[in-house]
Amino acid sequence: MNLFSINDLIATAPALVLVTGAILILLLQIVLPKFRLQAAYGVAIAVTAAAILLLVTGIPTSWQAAGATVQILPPIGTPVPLTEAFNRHVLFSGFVSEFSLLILIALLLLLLNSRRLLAELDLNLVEAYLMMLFSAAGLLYFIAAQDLITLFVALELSSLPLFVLAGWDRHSKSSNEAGIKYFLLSVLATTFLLLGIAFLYGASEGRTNLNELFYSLSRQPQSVRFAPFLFGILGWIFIYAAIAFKTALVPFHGWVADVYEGSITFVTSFMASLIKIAAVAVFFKLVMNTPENHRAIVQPVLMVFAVGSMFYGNLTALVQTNLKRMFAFSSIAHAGYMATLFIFPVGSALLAEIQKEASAALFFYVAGYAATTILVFTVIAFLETGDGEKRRITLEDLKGLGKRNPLAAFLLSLGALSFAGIPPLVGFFGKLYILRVLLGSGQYILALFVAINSLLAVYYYARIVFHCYWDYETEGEKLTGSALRSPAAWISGMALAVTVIGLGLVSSPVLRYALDAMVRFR
Amino acid sequence: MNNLQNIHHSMPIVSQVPILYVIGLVLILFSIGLIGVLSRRNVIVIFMSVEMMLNSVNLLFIAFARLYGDLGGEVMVFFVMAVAAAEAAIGLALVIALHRNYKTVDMAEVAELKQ
Repeated sequence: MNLFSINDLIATAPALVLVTGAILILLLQIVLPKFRLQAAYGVAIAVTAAAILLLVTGIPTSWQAAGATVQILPPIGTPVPLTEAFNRHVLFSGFVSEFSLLILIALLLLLLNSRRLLAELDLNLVEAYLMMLFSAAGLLYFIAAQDLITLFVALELSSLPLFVLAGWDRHSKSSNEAGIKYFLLSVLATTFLLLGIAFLYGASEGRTNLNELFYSLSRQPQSVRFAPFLFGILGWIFIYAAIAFKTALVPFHGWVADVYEGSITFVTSFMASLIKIAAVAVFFKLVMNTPENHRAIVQPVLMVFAVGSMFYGNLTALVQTNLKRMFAFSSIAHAGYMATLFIFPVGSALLAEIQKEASAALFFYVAGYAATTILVFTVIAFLETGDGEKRRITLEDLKGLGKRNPLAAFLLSLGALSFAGIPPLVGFFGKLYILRVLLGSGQYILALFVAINSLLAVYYYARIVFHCYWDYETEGEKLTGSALRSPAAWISGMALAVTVIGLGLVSSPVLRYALDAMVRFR
Repeated sequence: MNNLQNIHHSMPIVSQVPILYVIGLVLILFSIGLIGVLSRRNVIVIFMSVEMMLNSVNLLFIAFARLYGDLGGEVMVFFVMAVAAAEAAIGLALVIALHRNYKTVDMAEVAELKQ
């Protein structure tokens, strides 16, 4: 037990920069009432960029308090010693900093679009930027949390602003509904998380630190008659359920379609990218910290999550006509693909090696998924707002879009093809690496399920491309949508398109880089 | 330190409820809350049920904290209460916004998004 020092603040600097930015936005409202919108937008982008810079370059050693152990922020891309802060409540490893970087970059790309998209809907209020910054800061702590208490508080810090954002369009009935549904089900998931934490606390004689928990639980006899072991099993199941809710995995997917459709599309892309990145990373970390004797019993639950999500998501998306709903179900299916990486053979001698490979494949898949999701939802948002008022986009509306709005049609098709897993794009390589890990660890049935689902999914993604370019027969008013007129939105759109095309081409160096960085993460 | 321990040992133990009884009570309370969430339609009542689930978890934390003589569980209860208060503030604001548009807080009638 050491006292609080400046090193703790240094270690969590990126999250603190975001929080500082959020508070600054509040202050600027009073100081510069005339320019507060521009100021809020500028500050939000500036602090996000600063946080990325801090994460990539690290912090000079000279800033640290004397007599400390290694407390510098781990620089990206190198095998790093673990950095602990706040009495081991927060722990930075290569795994954590890689995913933190992903979250910050996604936040930056979203923020670049935000001003134009929110202004089109007449919802451009200062508080939107505030909420996004707080939520992202919460996600950074969520990923880095090494103690279940911190995990819980960080999850709430990221969720509470999101309830507000989900119901952001307060005059629209559908946005109200999305907000209240997301709120009620999220709070329900929180109670599950807490019950899980309480059971683990009881199972391990009063421990909440993930590392201590691991060593305490792994010494237990594997027998359900032994009460603490039973508590441990219950604890893991409840915690997995809560995080599966955030990841949108199958038995806990009930909110996804309604909330994704009802919220304004900009917020939907925030939920589908940032929240999912963080939830998947934390889920993986929790699975890593589940000792072998417990995992042997809990593993089937993960299997249900993964296989159920893949099949349910893809089969339901097949029959959707509303574009946002279709992508909501497809996001469930993608969560399922990611969840296959949480399953390791029990009792394997090569467990550490498999876990390392799985973490790198997960990082690559999540990076590609986030880029594609933001691209697709951004295009949908611009299509929705083009005619002055918000409208729902169906597949019918897309007919002939390739002629009327070539840029939007191209970007949307690019996203759809990447999701479908067409070779030069990033989605293909993501699936390839998942299959390689699954086959390498001998889980052939799971690999077969992933392959079947990839084939199923091609149908509804290809339909989007087909409607855009080959099917011009349409009746009723024609959808054109706005071009990506603002420069910031254009930059963000192009950056995403380049990522979706380019990340696939440089996939093997990226994967090796991720592998190097993720040497240790327990 | 020794003196403190002596004082502690000389205090009469008022009651020592076995931990399994407490866990049984917690699971009963938690289930009642869960059934409330799943079966009720009024948003306010659903929210009350969730609060009940949260408090049943608090009870479990305190029971384990007492069993192991560890303060962590009791600290956790304060965190849960603080977060629950923040959640209530945001939740009730959402309910007010909902009521302005729908003129009801009945979840069965809040169904714009069903296809």
